[in-house]
Amino acid sequence: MTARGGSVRERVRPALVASRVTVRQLLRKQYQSTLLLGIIVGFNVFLAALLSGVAGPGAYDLGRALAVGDGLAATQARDATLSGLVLVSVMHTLGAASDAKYKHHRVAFLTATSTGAVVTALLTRRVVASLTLFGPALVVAAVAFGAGTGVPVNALSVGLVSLWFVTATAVCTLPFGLAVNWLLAGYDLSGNARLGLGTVVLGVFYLALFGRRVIADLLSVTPVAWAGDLLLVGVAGGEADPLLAAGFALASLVAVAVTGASCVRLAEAAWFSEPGVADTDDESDRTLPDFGTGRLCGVVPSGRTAALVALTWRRTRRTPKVLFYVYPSAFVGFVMVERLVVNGPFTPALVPVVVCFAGGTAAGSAFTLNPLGTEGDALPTLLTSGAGAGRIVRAKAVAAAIPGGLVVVGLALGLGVGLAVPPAVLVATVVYAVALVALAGVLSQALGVHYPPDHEGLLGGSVTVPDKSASMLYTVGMVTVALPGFAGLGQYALTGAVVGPVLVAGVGSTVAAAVGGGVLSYRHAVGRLDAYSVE
Amino acid sequence: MATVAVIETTGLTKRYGETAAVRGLDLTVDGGRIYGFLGPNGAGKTTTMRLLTGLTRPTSGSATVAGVDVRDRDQLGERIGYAPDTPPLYEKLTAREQLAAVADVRGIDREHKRERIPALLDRFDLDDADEPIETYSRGMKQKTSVVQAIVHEPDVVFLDEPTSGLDPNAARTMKTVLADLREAGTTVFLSTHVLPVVDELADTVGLLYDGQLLAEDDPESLKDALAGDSLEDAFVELTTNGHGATAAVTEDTPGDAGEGATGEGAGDPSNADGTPLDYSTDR
Repeated sequence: MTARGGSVRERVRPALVASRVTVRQLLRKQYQSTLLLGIIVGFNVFLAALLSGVAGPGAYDLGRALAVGDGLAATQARDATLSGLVLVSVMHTLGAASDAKYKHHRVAFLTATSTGAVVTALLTRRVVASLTLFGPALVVAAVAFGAGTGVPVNALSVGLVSLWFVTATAVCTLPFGLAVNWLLAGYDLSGNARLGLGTVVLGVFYLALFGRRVIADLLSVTPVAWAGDLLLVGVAGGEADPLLAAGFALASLVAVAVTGASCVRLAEAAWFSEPGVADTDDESDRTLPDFGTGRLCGVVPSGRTAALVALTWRRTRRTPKVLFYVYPSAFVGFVMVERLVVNGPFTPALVPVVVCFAGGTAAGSAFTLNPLGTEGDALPTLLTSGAGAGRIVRAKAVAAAIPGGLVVVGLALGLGVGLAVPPAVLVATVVYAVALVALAGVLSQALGVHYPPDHEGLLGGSVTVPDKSASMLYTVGMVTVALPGFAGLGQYALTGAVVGPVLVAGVGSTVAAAVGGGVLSYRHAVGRLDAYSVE
Repeated sequence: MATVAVIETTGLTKRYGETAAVRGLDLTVDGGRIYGFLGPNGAGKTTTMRLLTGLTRPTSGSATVAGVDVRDRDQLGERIGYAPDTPPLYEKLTAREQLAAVADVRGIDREHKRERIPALLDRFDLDDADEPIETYSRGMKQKTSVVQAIVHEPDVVFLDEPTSGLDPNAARTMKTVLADLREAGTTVFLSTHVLPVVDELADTVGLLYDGQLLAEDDPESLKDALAGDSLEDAFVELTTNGHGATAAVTEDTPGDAGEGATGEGAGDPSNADGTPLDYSTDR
């Protein structure tokens, strides 16, 4: 008895130790970073307001509707459950793909204990991280739901089930991440291939975000829809089938157990794979060292600034993953058009305006959202080069603005001409585009310099991509500046009539805000970079 | 011949919260010398180098390098070169591209660049200069990093473990280069654990312990003072039995031997006024 018990304990203990250390690291990292803590709290407050019903219809209203016997409420609750499951699952998958790569973070454990123990720690960390990110908001929403139904125990059941959904999706999505990393490790894909893969994943996320209703409709005829039965079991008017609820609970338990076990096999494949032969992209990179930078650098006045611009472009050509966050911004444009087409109001003349906004935002999402992090190990080289903070900030802004400006202005102009937009509107559109592109390169740096250079990268390597929160904050800033101009240009697009004062006031406001914001951003970025201290 | 101090620090201090990594460092390094900067792990060597290269901001005290305040990072960058222990290189570039880019960023004349970079590549046997740096061995990266630090012919070059990962041939080349730099009037601030290199090359050796300068002298005097056969003996004696040795050579030494240097002033191995112990004088 004791021998057998001791054996089990010995097998479990390494997993417990590894889990404890890993979770402690996670919580310490969150607790010690004011920025990270602020983001987590802010996200929870936002989500809680959204889910509970403070900002528009939410859990409280659903609870009330169920209490008064509104037949539609149960369907709405089920749809919301499925949509939420889809979104959280995709977010978890994306996170798993980025997180599982970091074998070196676990090397100490991997050389000291079994892969199973390390995988257990990784899963525990994922669950704790997910509960930290979603848990408080879900609890608030559950309480609101309970209050709406007038039955406090409903808050308990809905809260627990919601938290279980988060836990189960955190576990069940890890295999996808490991599989992706097994592909990366096994075939040593080039930067371009990895960027392509990452773009697909991110595209899936946005499709899930904006097409969650469609996905939920598709899933409603599958056993995944039983999640709604589990969530609403015991809730009066919820029309939950206890048998289906029990079925989902059991199935999710089994899924957690099975995926946990499969993770061990996949982790062994991903973490202990020998890299294969690199594809030929990197080889071709070596034969294309200039990337046309010589010609483009001709427009950059100072030789040293031009050198920094050229260096940025050359490195981007070799490490295209730094452009990763260009895609979400560009995708926002597609989604804006899609939403406008579906929900209206929409006219083709809106497209150049959307291109200006989305393209301008994308230009600043390239290598300026984490100006320190994108330097990787070479950061000391840049800081001790005597180039100066001002020159570094200018160079990165120029590096973003030249290609971004050419693409955005070219597209907007081409579309405007093609759509026979009046000259005044065309000029205003170009001014709007230039203002946004110019602002983008410095606003992103003003935000980016607040992020430590060692922010976790998305796809590994010594060069880090910007933090997701930087991207979000930056997008909010760009939207704020872009809105008046969007309204001014949108007025023409929707009515077909040029109202001079509206156009000038709208675009003028954006230009003024871009200039003011640009100057402030530049000064802030330079000051911050000047004062930066390697700690 | 009168020498001019190119590195001067006064009460240079760097704190991380409650922990003091460098504590009131007073240092003077003359121009055209090789200064061997020694100390056990965690003594504060890397922090000191970062302070002197402007990468880290001091908490208090002052420091100038080549007459430039270390807080003025832009001016400082024009006068110094720095090769930290982790080679600060863009891994996707080739060594030739890296050096050319850094030379351009530093504003080196194009003609001079065209002559100097191939010469340095040749000198350091960087045969794979046209391969991506990510494919290099540790030693190759180290050599590229050092070349990068001296490509613009700085007044002062800071090298953190420059011989780390080098094979004997490359290490010999590195030593020759360091000696040549000195001959050319460049001041070399050299931090390493490879004591024979310091023993062979350094004009002055400074020993940092717990963020303070414990001893400073030329290698021979330091060895004589501690009755050791080598610099390694001196290093071990000072850092292992530092407090006892200190007490044996000077009555000015405060602190309690054996209690460890866990707080400021506790077990302080330097003189009461914070100056390093001068063994040659005391003996």
